[in-house]
Amino acid sequence: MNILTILLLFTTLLLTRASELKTAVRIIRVQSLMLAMACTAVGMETGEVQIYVAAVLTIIIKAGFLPYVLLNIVNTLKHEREDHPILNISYSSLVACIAIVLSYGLIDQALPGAGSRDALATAVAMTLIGLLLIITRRQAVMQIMGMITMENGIYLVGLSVAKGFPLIIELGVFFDVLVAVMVLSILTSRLKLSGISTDTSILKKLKG
Amino acid sequence: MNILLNVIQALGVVLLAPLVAGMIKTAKARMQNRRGPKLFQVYFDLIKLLHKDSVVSPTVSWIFNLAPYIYFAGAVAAAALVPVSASRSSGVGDIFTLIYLLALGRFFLVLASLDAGSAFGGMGGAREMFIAVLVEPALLLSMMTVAFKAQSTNLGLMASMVENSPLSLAYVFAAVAFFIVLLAETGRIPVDNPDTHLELTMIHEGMTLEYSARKLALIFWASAVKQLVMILLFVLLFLPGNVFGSEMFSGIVLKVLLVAMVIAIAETSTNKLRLFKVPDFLAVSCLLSLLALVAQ
Amino acid sequence: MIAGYLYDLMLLLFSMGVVSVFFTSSNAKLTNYVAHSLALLGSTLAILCAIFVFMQGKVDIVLPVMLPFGPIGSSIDFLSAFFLLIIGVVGAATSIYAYGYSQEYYHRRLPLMAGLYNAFLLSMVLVFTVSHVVAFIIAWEVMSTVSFFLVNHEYEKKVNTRAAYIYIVMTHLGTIFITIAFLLLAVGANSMDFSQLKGSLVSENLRNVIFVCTLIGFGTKAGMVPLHIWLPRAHPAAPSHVSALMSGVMLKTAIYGMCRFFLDFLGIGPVWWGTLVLVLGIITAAIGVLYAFIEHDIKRLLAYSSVENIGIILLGIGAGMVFMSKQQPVLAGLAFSAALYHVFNHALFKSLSFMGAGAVLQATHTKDVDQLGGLIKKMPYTAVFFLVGSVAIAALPPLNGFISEWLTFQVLLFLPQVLVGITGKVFSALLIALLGLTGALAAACFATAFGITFLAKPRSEQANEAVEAPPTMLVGMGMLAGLCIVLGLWPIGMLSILSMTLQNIAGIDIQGLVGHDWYALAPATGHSDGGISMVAIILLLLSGCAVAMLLYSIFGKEKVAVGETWTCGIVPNSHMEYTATGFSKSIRTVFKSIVHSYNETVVNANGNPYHGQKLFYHVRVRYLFVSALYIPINKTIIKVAHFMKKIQAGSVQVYVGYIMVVTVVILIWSTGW
Repeated sequence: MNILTILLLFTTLLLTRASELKTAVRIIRVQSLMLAMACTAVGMETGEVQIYVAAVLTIIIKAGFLPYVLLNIVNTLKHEREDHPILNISYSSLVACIAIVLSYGLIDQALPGAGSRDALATAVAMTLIGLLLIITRRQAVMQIMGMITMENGIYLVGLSVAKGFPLIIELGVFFDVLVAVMVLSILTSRLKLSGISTDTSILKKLKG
Repeated sequence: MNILLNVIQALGVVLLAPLVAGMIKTAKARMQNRRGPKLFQVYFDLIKLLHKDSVVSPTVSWIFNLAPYIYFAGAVAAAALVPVSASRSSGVGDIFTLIYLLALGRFFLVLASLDAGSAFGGMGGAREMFIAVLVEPALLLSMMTVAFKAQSTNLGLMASMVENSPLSLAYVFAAVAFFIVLLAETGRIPVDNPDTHLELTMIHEGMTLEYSARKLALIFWASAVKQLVMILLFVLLFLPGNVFGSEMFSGIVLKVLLVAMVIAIAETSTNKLRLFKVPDFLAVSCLLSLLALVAQ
Repeated sequence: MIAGYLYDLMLLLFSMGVVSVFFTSSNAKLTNYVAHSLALLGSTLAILCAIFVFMQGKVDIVLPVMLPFGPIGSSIDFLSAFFLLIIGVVGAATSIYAYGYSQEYYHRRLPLMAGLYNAFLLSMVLVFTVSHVVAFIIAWEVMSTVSFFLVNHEYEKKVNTRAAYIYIVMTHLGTIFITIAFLLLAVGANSMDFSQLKGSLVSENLRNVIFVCTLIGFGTKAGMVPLHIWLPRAHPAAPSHVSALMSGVMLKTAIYGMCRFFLDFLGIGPVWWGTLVLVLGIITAAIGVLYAFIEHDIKRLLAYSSVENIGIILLGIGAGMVFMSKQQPVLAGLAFSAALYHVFNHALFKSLSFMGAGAVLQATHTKDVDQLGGLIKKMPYTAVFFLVGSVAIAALPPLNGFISEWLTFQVLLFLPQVLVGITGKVFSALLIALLGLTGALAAACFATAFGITFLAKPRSEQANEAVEAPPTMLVGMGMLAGLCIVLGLWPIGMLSILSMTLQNIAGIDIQGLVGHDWYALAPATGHSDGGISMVAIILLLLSGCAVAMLLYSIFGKEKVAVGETWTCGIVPNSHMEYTATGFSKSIRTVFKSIVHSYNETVVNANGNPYHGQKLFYHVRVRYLFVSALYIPINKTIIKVAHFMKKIQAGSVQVYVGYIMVVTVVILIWSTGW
């Protein structure tokens, strides 16, 4: 479990260094696979069926369906890449490291001596780094990557603390991500049809 | 019923009002070194008017024809409410009723002045309403000095209380305040000149410019009745104590004569105020009433 | 109980009225008849329901509506029944009037207006009768929203839309305060039912807060100065029968709310409550009538006059509260009777006046008094009814306005007995003087309104071509005019109803209200033997008329010759007549510190300089409260909003950034790092 946690952290750090959209999607696929494996480990620990079901769902949706759709979108956006994010790549990685240190410190302060300290800290770090990605990336696809990272972080909290959320919450979370991706794909295809770039900084013109 | 006494009193006031008006006219004339009209001249004028035929403008409506009756009826009803001793027992006299009956008459007369569609009528009506608006608070304040003391607005009770109280500074203030209101309400100099022939300086006469013959007689008579009503109110409510014996009819007559003289003196000794100085004049009355209230 | 059935049936009829317009919307005439007949039936049932409640006692009804706050009930006690009577009478008259008035609206969204009219009546009936906090607020909101749509009905004119906007903002401001007051009480009483709110345990300070919130909240709806700015804009903008309902009944819902709070929930309070209401009342009355007098739009004039009359009602309520605080129950009963009598009177004569103004508007298509004139010959019956309304508003005997004004004066006269000392005497004297000023200004205002609109020659072509109103409109007006006269001649009837209304209220004793003579109004207050007798007044007036007629005919029949009005020898035309603007000039000059009128004179000198130039003279008024209070508040709010706009960068990422910063800060703070 701890190995998987470290690997998750690693993939998240890697995500902050991605500037090609395809690379980012692949990293997300790997991250989700890791999460599914962690889920299966927890399931083997507790032996509850619904955790296995949740793991299978994670594989199907987050590691299978979502990256597939996203890769399709990315393929239609042949000339898009994250050229100049608001915070450049090196500094993003630096801030991500600070976030990891911060989350470890917070968890140590709030819950000293907790058993699943690594997993909790990783989860908080993933959430913060996800938020960082949303803030500092201009491309819509990258922002979705950030959101999925946040979801994965929250999912990890559930796994480590409560040994899995009830299925209904898992379903809710999945639907949430699903809808977000559907919206993104529609938006992207419309933007592509109108010939406008999917760079979201053009949305600033809508200011009231 | 006791109300019969009130009706008889009203008729008495109606009969005597032109005499008082005549007295004031004669006194003014004598003071201005003229011979002046005869004492009963007003009666002759009214009878002359009642003989004549009238000229009515085609612009007017039924309000024009109705207004003199309502004005006269209001004045007569007010005259019935004045608390001369015998009629106090019926208990119908109330100061607000009296004031508002007079206001009823004035309302319809202003309407009639607008009815003929002339600028003089409108101006006279507008100014009359202007003076009425300013006089009302002054009148009520001076009345309240007596009413607060008597704890009632019933005229009979107020008059009885005034009779039995001694002369004091408060009464002097209140009397002067009400005298100012009296001059304003009856349209005497310094508020309005009752003898003027210039339409632009008329207030009350301007309202009635279109009236002729019998309706004009009714209006003149009603004005005289209103004047006598105000003088009687002054005598009965603001001159305290049994100076000449207010219970007796002769006492009242003497006091009325005295007040008529004072009005004549006041008219002769000042000149007419500019219209927009009238609020200041009435403000003096309000202040005196407030002083009277405080001094009680 | 019968009253319960009548109540349910009435609600059903109004709801049917709302729903029926969906079915009849294709045929305008059918919509008119069906919707307004249902409204008329509903209003008649309201009158009957009120009468039955007075005869049989309080009625409690549970409404078949399930909300998660407990069962919603209506409780019609005597106070509610009194107000139900008002809405029944005015609603019936307005519905009859609406038959004729809606003919002008056949192509202007009549189904919408008729449906909203029924909804308006329904919501007001609910406001008067429900006894649950949440239901009251819901009904109040429905009433405000429906009246907003009705005010905005003729949205083609920008001035109407602006009026509706100001109205909805002000009314919601009031609703906030009302909700606060209700919730504070409900929390203290641990229940949302009106019958429980009386025993609410709240601290002294909280009671004062509730009082102030009530005053502001209901005062906004009633049109109390300085919260009145919506009234003179909204009432003229609505269709005339709706204006009549708004002015006649909707303002009274606020007075009903105040009475519920002051008599029922809060009970006896400190003296400063009553004194504050007195001061606000007299300011409202004086300012209202002053602005009414200088208006020349007839409906705005009537709206400002409503503000004045609300001031007079508040005077009565304030005096009643002072008397209650000083343990003078008999005088308190007199004061509240004066206030409620004026409530009924105002509902009658203000609705009558608005209906008359609506008839004039329909005939001449203009509201500007300076363009009218001579209508008494073209619309004789409307003129008579409007005259009755004007004489009643001017508080002249023998109509009903005089009775309630007299009662209010009496109440103010007894104030120095409880507010002892020089201050009390001077305060009461000032109140009486200002009330007298108000009365005189009201008389002047309505002499202008009636005189310039109806008398003399028509001042424009539109006035020249006016025709009499359709008979249904005349019937509606006639009903209310007749009631004005009846209530003036027979005040004891109304006082009996009032003494039933005000029974069983702590701190009020109405035993001495109805004296032993059927014809006299002589409240036995134990302090004096004052009284008036309408019969005596009528007798005296009639005898005066008799004397006048005797004098008139004493010398035989008069010969009347026709001669043109004297205008120094030239033929008079309508341009020589006085206008409303001119009529009010002297008052504008005297009160110029409050009114701030300034004029623009435009001289068209192109004509022959010897033969006369064209001159345009336009008077504008600077409205004191709008310019001194509301415009600075508006400017401040807009400045603050501009400043706050800076945090809106337009970029989604900045917003997410705000969230992230806050999250991190909270995380660090909560763990105490």
